[in-house]
Amino acid sequence: MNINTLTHLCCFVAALFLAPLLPGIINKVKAFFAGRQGPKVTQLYKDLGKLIRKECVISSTSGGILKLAPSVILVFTVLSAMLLPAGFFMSPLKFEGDALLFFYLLGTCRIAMVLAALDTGSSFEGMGASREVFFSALAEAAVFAVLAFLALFSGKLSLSHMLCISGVDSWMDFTPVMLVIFSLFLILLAENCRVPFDDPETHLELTMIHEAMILDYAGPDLAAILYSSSLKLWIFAGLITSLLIPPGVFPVWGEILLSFGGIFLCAVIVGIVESSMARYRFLKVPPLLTAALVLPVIAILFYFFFQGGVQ
Amino acid sequence: MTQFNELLLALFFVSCLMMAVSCRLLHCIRLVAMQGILLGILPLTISGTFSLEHPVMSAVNFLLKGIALPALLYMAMKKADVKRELEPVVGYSFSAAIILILTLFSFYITNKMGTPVHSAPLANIAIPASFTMVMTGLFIIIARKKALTQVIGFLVFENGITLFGAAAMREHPVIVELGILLDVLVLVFIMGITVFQISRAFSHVDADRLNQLDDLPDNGEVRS
Amino acid sequence: MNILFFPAVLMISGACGAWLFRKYPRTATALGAGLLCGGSASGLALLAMQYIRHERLVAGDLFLLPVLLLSLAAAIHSIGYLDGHGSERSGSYWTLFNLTTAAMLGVTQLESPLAFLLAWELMGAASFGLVIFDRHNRNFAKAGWIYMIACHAGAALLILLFFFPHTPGWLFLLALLGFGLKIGFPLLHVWLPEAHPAAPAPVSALMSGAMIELGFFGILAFAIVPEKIALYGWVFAILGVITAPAGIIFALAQSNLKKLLAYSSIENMGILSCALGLGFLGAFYQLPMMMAAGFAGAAAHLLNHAFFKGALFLGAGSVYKAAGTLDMDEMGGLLARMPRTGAYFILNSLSLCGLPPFSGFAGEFLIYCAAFAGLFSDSVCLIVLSTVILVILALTGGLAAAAFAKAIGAVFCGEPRSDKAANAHDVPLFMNIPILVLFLLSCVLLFVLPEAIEKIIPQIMPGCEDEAVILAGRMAAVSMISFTATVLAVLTLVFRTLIVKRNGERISPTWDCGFSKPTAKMEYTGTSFSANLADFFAALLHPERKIEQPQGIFPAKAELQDETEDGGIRFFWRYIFTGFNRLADKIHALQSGSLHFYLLVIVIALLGMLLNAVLRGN
Repeated sequence: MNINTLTHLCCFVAALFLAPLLPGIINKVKAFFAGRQGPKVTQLYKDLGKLIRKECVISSTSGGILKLAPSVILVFTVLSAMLLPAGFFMSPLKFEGDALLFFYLLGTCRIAMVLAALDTGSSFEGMGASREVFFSALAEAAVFAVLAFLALFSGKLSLSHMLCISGVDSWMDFTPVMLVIFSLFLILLAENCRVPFDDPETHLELTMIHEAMILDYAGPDLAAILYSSSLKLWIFAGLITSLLIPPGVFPVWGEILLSFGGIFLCAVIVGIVESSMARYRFLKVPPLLTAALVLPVIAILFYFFFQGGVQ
Repeated sequence: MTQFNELLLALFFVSCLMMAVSCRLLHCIRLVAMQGILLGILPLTISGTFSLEHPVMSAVNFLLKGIALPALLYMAMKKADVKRELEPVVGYSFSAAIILILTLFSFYITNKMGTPVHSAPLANIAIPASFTMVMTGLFIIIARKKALTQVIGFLVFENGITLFGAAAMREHPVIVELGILLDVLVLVFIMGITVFQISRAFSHVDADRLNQLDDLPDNGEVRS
Repeated sequence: MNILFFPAVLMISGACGAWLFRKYPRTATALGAGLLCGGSASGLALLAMQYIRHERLVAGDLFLLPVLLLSLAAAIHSIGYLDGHGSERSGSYWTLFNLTTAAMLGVTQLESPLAFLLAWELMGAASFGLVIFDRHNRNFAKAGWIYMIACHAGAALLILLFFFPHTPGWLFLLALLGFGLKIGFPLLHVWLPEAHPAAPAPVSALMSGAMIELGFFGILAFAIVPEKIALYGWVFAILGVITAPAGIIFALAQSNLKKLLAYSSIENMGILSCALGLGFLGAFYQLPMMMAAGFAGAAAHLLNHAFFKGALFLGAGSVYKAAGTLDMDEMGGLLARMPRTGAYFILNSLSLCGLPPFSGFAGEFLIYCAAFAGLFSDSVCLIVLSTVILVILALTGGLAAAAFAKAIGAVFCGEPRSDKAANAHDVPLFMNIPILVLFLLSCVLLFVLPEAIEKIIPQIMPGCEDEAVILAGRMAAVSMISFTATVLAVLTLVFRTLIVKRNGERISPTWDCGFSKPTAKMEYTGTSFSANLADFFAALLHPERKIEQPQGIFPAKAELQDETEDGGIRFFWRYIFTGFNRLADKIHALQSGSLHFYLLVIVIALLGMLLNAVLRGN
């Protein structure tokens, strides 16, 4: 086991432990903007600890998917977190093409959650599921446009190589990378069901998506779902951060600190976005996701024309 | 500096895209103002050389397009009390896709046409950006119903022409002058349309009196 | 010839036997099904021996595998399916079934054009008999009519293709139209969503899983010349880019389970077409990676689609037998009532969506690899195409997940929406086993694929040895991670069970926000589940919406119905055929009934011929 793998594993384990901080940070930022005290940053840890000791309630309508889904979601999210590089430390699981597997694993999580939501037969959960598949289909297309750009940019198909674009080159092509990061940020908001795509604060409104789908979980199952959601947020924030940090400029510890700090900063930005704008109307979401799809394509054009790849 | 210019040019594309997907008129006006401000900055930075034309051009763009025209539009919007485009001819998602196609197309024709010999550096991006803006402007005029949005479309169209002038600045001062002339034309045009629209839409009800109508039933007359 | 001979003889004798004993349904079933199974099994054994002996595999063998497997699975399922759905006519069923399978065998193995064409026609005719077999179905006559027209139009084009000399371009166009009618390319697809719901489920499984793919075999075997690969690449890729999303969008809007599956077949043929296009373009632009990944992806996806679509149609058949309907909005809650069918259906549909850790991901992965390889080329056109394919495939994947979530959710989840669904019981175990076996075979495929790629790609595409090794490495990593994921998920489940045992578990009604008794009427139906997406794609779908708004304070009734008729029929063929009718009406005027007029016409025709002969003679 070489030093790279070891560092990645350490970062990975740290990520697993730190992920529940992110929703706490977002809530703290929102509370700050609202002039409230807000819950503690570590609130989710306490919730998880409490939930895992609680009784499990299963819907009598369920055919069994409801019981299966949390485990599947938890495992697949953790595995995809494993595929993500930490700073510039490549994932030990990396192989050419793991970027596809990464997003498809998250896709399996999503479909597991949708099926479990439908399994309860609840009208709210059906609605949440219906919206989730709609938005995620569009987000998926945007994700692959981003991947196309990153593959062109790095010449590789592995997430570890795509994100740790070597050296100063990435700063040469500042603009396209910026466009892609903007698009990735939109995808982050959409995939993690944050404002303006979905409002995680509202409970039991006709507006929500993700929260509506998990209405029927309780106890350890709910804990698994909540934890997976926070880890998913960590994963997407990690994607953006790894893309932004130029590898090899700072010493190892600086790099690690920077990547973790970047992820927390991402959470802060999400919090600011949530405090400063309202959830979009349902009909306004698809255009925004289409925009997230168009941006990487413009980035590809920029990249080519600026590089002189096409003349 | 190239980095910076490139970013500015990227913002033109992004603003076109955002304008196509946003239904709020306020957003559109802000985006047009942003384009105007960008057009104010761009002539100073894009050409390596300095001449008297650049600051003049900058100032005119900045004041007219970045501040004056958006302010006029904003006032017109307030007066007419329209906030958003409710039923566009072309849906917003589809509009975004069309902007994508227009962008691809403008890169393609620039590539086919070639850039002018004495154009500014970065012209290979600035010229497609200007084409994209021209076409986006036309698209907005075609695909939206509200007169105000159409005026915004016309402004985007005009911004595109100005950008083209700025990109080819070193050789074509005449185009710049033409651009300014066209600006004045647009000004007149906007005012004409706005005034006409307001007079037509509010011939029965004065906009100022709308807030006094408290308990009236929501009939068609009030809603006009 | 050896692969073909023995199984085909068994099948044909099965057909004869079933026909002779058609008065005695049980004997006919035993003879027909037994000989068919024997034939398929022996064919599989021969194929396996060929593979083990490292003999050179031809494209036909790849297409033969789904035929044999699915005929075997469908035959076993048929025995249960026919019980109560026309078992008294099982003699003719088995005759036609055996003939269809034998003809499909012939199509994959016969090399002379005439023999191929005969087998192709036999396949069409016999399967036509099967499509109209289920007379309980309201639409069987219409479906049969459309299917027959499609078959014959295809055959006419193929006769032109085989027996008149052509330039390669024309050859390809004719093949594209003639075989495209089988594959279901846009506008040529209209028979698919009609014939599949009408046919008995095992027949749809065989047709959708194995027969429509034979169209690709036909094009590849008879219309490809090496000089024109760029044309083939572009045509396939662009057709695929159109077919895949269009197919799945129409699938989303269906409320008939088998129609949904039929449209999903069109989508998968689109993906297959993309993969072939990428392969050909890789060959043209000399990108060995793209070529290898494209063709390997096409092969893997073909097999996967055969397994899953076959299994899904069989599952739909089981559901039909149990619930007595195919309308998804009348089902619901079947997972609790028929757990085996439900579980296998869900597993197969998740695989078909290309989700890991299942095998469906392997095919999609290879196709994505091919598209990414296309990004690294020098040609701008190819880069643009690759980007488009990537985005479209991702969108299609997402929409496919939505479509199958709709199918699963509406059929198996929630509370039953009709009495029939509420009283459903699982079908006998032997009907489920073929479905499970097909799924397990696909899992085996996931692990065999790395080795198969390493072995077969260099055989078929010399010069791609390195790429084969690289791809095999990637596939090995994919299957390794998939396996790990599955094991970990199972372990977590065990862990969950332990925790739940400690904490206790309670069963209670679904929490529905203050409604004391949530009923099936409050549930999201399949139609409402996909209404968002249908609205979004309304420009393409043009759903006909019947809506009855709730009125008053205590609304008695509210209704929403979405019907989406096939776009190809509505916007293209209908006009064509109406035009034809008008033309025929005009020509009809000639038939006036007056003898003098007929004589006049004959005289004019004779004079014309004379004149022609005289002029030609000079």
